[in-house]
Amino acid sequence: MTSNFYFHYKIPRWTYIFLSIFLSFIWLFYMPLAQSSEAGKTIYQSFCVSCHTIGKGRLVGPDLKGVTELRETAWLVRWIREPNKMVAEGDPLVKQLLAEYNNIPMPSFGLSKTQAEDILAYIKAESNKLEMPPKVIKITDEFINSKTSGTNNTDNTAAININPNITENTLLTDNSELFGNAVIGKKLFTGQQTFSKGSPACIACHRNTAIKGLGGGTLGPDLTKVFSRYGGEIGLNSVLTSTPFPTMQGVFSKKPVSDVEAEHLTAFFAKTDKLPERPVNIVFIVIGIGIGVLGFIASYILMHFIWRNRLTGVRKPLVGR
Amino acid sequence: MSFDQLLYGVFPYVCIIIAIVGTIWRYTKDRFSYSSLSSQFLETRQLFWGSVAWHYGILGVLAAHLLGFLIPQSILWWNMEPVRLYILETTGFVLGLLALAGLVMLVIRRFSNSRIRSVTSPMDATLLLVLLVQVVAGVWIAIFFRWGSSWYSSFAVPYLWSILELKPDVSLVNNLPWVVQLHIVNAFVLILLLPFTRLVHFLSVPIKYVWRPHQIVRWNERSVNNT
Repeated sequence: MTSNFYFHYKIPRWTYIFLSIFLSFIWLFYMPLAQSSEAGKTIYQSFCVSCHTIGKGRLVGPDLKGVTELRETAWLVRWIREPNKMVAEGDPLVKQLLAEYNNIPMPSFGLSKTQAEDILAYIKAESNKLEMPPKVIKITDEFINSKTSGTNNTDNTAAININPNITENTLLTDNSELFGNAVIGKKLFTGQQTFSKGSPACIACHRNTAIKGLGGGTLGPDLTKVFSRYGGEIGLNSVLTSTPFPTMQGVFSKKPVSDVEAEHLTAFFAKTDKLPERPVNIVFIVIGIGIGVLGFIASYILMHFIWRNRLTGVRKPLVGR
Repeated sequence: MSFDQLLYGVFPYVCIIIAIVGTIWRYTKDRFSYSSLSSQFLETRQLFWGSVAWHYGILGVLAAHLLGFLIPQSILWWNMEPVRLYILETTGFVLGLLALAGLVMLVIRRFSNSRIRSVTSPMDATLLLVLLVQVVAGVWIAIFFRWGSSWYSSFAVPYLWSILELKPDVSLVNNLPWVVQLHIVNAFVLILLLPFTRLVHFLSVPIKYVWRPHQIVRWNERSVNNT
């Protein structure tokens, strides 16, 4: 009993031994990993390639060919490392870029300074390999025709050619000829139809006014008006297939939404674009929380009922309290 | 290495290793301390309302987390119909509220009752604080970051498996809202605390307690009105 009492009233001596081991582990793990750095190409292909090209035109984000000559290295390193902070600070160049690229922010991947510099070194090396100066690449009529005629294009970049006659803004906001099916899109959103590569259903994290009942999730933003937010069909399709958001990247880089599924979702979002967003879900507050609280009260009543013979009346005189 | 890698790629292993070694050490050195040391002698009424709700609530919540960890695809299959998702989430919410109310009652009891306070060690207080943070964060997530059962199966479960497979994938969790990150890191703190606190009673697997009849603990040789 003595040893037990000692243990429960003082922190045992070996707690400090374990604390020392704990700190040693942090040190041992930290040091070798801190010194390791991956090649810029690998990092670029993991994080940047879904939204950028080097010399092959703009996708969701700008073509990065020659960007190391165009901007200061310190600015680029910070932009790669802390885009969210720079957006919050209202950096003028960032504002300009956001306006130009449909307000799709660059995700923050938590990269180190060395990793950012490695990426820049890779971009510089790749840019130098290309002889031609960067070209502004537009999306052609052929691309649109191939989509509306039902051709399943699995490679986004393959259909991108130079066509200076088409302005991107007109294409991005044109939703008159949507390829997808809104009903399938809604089923993909709620999870009633699964994604071919196993991506999680949108409802897990996102709400949409078209989803009734207790609504969609609130981990991510409301997607009711996402169609216009990302500049229409093509902008939204790019975002859905590349999912350039840090929270989503971890899962969606391995389980991406296919082109066809993105089309269906876009068709659904095009329909919900007219609905108002619902920041406060009254149904969830009243029904969801309400049932939860009622269930909680019922559980307490049940507890009292199950243990109603716990002899409180007998115990009191026995112990005198 | 970034702070995130340290937090999600290194810290979990440190906690798990220390918990395993510490548990074995305590078992060999101080075997009879594998208990939560009942304080029912000192106070029983608040203990009933606190302990019963806390234990059934937290066992239900833990079972749900364990099921999601073992069979995430089945949870996602169940959640395919929004109505089923809502039923699962509401059930989890009720269990979370039970755990929270029970725990708050136990915290109040431990610090407001002088008899209980005098048998409270610093590690008891630490454990209660860490548990409280964990349960408050859990209930907060259930209300403000819906629908946890679905995104836990899609994001957190692959992360937990990546730890078991010794290939921690930090990118699955390091951008989640800070409350969710707190919930994850704090869970590893609880594992770390396991061998150093009364939480160790969990390892004696007192499964029968869940359905055993009630027990009354009373003083044996003591006259009435002698307090």
